[in-house]
Amino acid sequence: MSNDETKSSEGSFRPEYKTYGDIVWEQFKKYTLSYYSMWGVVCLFLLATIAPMIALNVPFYIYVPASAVVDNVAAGVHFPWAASLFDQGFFESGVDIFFNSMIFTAPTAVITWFFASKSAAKRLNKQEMKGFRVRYALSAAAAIMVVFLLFYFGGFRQPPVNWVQIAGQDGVSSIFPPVEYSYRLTDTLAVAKPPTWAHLLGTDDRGRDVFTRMIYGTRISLTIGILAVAIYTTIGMILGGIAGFFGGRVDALVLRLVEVMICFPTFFLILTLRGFVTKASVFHIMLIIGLTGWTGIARLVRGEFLRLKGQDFVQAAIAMGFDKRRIIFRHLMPNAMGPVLVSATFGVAGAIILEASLSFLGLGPTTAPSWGQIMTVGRRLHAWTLILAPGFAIFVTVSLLNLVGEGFRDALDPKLRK
Amino acid sequence: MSATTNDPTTGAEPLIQVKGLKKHFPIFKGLLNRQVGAVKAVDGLSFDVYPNETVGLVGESGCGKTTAGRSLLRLIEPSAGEVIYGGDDILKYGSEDMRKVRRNLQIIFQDPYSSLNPRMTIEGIIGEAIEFHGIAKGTARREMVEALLVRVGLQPSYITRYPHEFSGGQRQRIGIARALALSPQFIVCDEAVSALDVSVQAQVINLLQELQDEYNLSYLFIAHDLSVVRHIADRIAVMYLGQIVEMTTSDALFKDALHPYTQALLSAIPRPNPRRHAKRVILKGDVPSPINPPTGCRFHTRCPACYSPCSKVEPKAVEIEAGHVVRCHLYDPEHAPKDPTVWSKLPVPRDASGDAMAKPPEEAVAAPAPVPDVEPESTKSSGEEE
Repeated sequence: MSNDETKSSEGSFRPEYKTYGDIVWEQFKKYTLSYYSMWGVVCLFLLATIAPMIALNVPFYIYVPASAVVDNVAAGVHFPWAASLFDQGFFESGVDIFFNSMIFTAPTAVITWFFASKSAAKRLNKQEMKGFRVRYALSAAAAIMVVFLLFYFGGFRQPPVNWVQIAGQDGVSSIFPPVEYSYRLTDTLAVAKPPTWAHLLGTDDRGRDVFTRMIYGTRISLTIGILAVAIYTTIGMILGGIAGFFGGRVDALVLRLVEVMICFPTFFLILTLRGFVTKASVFHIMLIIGLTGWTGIARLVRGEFLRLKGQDFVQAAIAMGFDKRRIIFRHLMPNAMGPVLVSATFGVAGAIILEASLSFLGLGPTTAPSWGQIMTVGRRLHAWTLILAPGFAIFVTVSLLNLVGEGFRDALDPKLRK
Repeated sequence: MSATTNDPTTGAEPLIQVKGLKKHFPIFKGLLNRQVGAVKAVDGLSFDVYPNETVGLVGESGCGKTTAGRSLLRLIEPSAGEVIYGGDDILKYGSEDMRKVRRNLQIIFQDPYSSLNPRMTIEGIIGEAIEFHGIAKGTARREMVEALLVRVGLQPSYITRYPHEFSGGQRQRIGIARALALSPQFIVCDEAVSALDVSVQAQVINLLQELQDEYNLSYLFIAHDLSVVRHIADRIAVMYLGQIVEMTTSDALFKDALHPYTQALLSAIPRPNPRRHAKRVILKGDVPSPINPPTGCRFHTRCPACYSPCSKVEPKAVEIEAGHVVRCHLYDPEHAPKDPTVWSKLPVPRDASGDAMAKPPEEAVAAPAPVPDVEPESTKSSGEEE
């Protein structure tokens, strides 16, 4: 039949196999600033992960001679650093346990990928490789989660040992991380000190090293940002999807709910919810942000669903006799994800600022070293380093995320969709 | 049309009977969201589709063709009427029964760019239904998809590609392959070739005809291009403002159109003969709003041969010959015009005293109407040039 149509596949001018994601990625790379910002965000994650390698008051290696034995530490060579990472007497929050387990699981995943992809490249063609990559990423993420959960629910604890004190004794050789403090180590003799070589950013009102707290604060901010957005994106997608797909009364109901929610200023809603929690953890804060932030996503997804529902491919799916679940999850959802992802990227930046503001008001996570908490201490102590340092960290993180979001938005622009 | 008449040419039972199909889109207004009216997009459509037959549905934009096609598949829920398929009214089916019956009733869409899910590979698009309905899985499914692609004239290697990598014509072929995947009996071709350029149009139409013979398909071919419909359809229904004004075999329609609207429509077909100065009938005014259609005959506001009963009484569908139905007072013996000059005002004037006047009552009385001498199959090859 149509020779001109079929010929293109046989000759050498067969266009390269590209998925929708490939096109978006290609386009995204053209926005240089956004592209490098994305690497900046990756570096922030790296920093959050390797925080115990930079600052921890536990040595990687220590040799305790018989002369220097203190209470529960035996003589000989010890490697207490690795064990202390999973000590829940020390790192009590799941956030820390997760990032600590990532120190081991993430490099493993990368190395395994290096070998797996080499062997896979021999037997798979280019497009099967893409599927393989996705499968690998998913299974690696699952494995990382499993390892984390094992550690977390293992509830591993060990007796506290003052390694810094032991290391100070004669005949003890040790290698510590560059900064020999933990973010919870209080020092009553060094309260509210200005920056010195010992404390690069000074100490706070309880004599804790602020530099250490800043580094660990990256974990708190990124986790709260991402998980809070994950929570509200999920809620928003479910409610918006229901409203957009079923329409009519359900739609009206969800829309009224959204309107009621956006009647209240979000921040005061968060403050109110915060009032119900007495001793807030990181997870309480992200839950509170997650429960209040879903309205935008819900409206976005509803709009996308309404638009897509009229498209012929959805009508075709109905004509094929597919059930609602399949139409929603295979046909509507994947096509509505683009703007949701963009909005979520901006949302992470917003959630980080929200968390910092809550902590600044003294309503953040009570024990976690958050940037906002450092700032509020700085205000109380009139210490400029304690205000500028977290302020700068928040500024950099939020700017990077916003730049990534902007690049994403431009890359997903419908103009490039063919 | 009558309920159980058999196909005049083959004597077969109709595959699908549409009876009084209506789709009114309600209009809500005001503080209390009260319904103040309705857009009567489809207002009482009745026709039959026989096995292995193509019924063309033509009309101006906005006359309800697409709504008709979609509501008879329940892609839009019709307001009233019956669609009888396999002895049952599918409009009364629950969602579960409906999903099962959908296998046999498929649709091909107008816009090849929005009719394929941009996030799925061709294998996914065509094969999804095959797997969902438990016909085949894995390698068997892949082979089925490849076979379908070959059947619609595409490379089997295309299965891993995405829709945006194809041209409009290729996409339309993919859409056809998807419709064929469940081996349906009936396909609504909703302006299936309107978005394609002329050479590709011809290829796709030929493909549709080949597939019809191969798989014993019936089509409801919705189009606004009369020459396309003439080429493919066995019978043609002409729609105006949500109603069928004339329905007959494709040959009879082009040879002897009776309804003034059909006559005007036919005169608008451009003819590739510069020396032939055919009279073009230009209808005055626009299509009236389907929210508030004219009383009596819906066409009376634009009809050149309008006379007394037209604005008051709604015309009945009159069967003039077997299978030739017209909805016009002129041919209804009950309202036959007293003034014979009305006939000369028609777009194709009829002799006042001649056959046109005398024939209709005669035919209505004569019970076994003569079978049209032209076999519908042969009409397909007659309109080759386009």
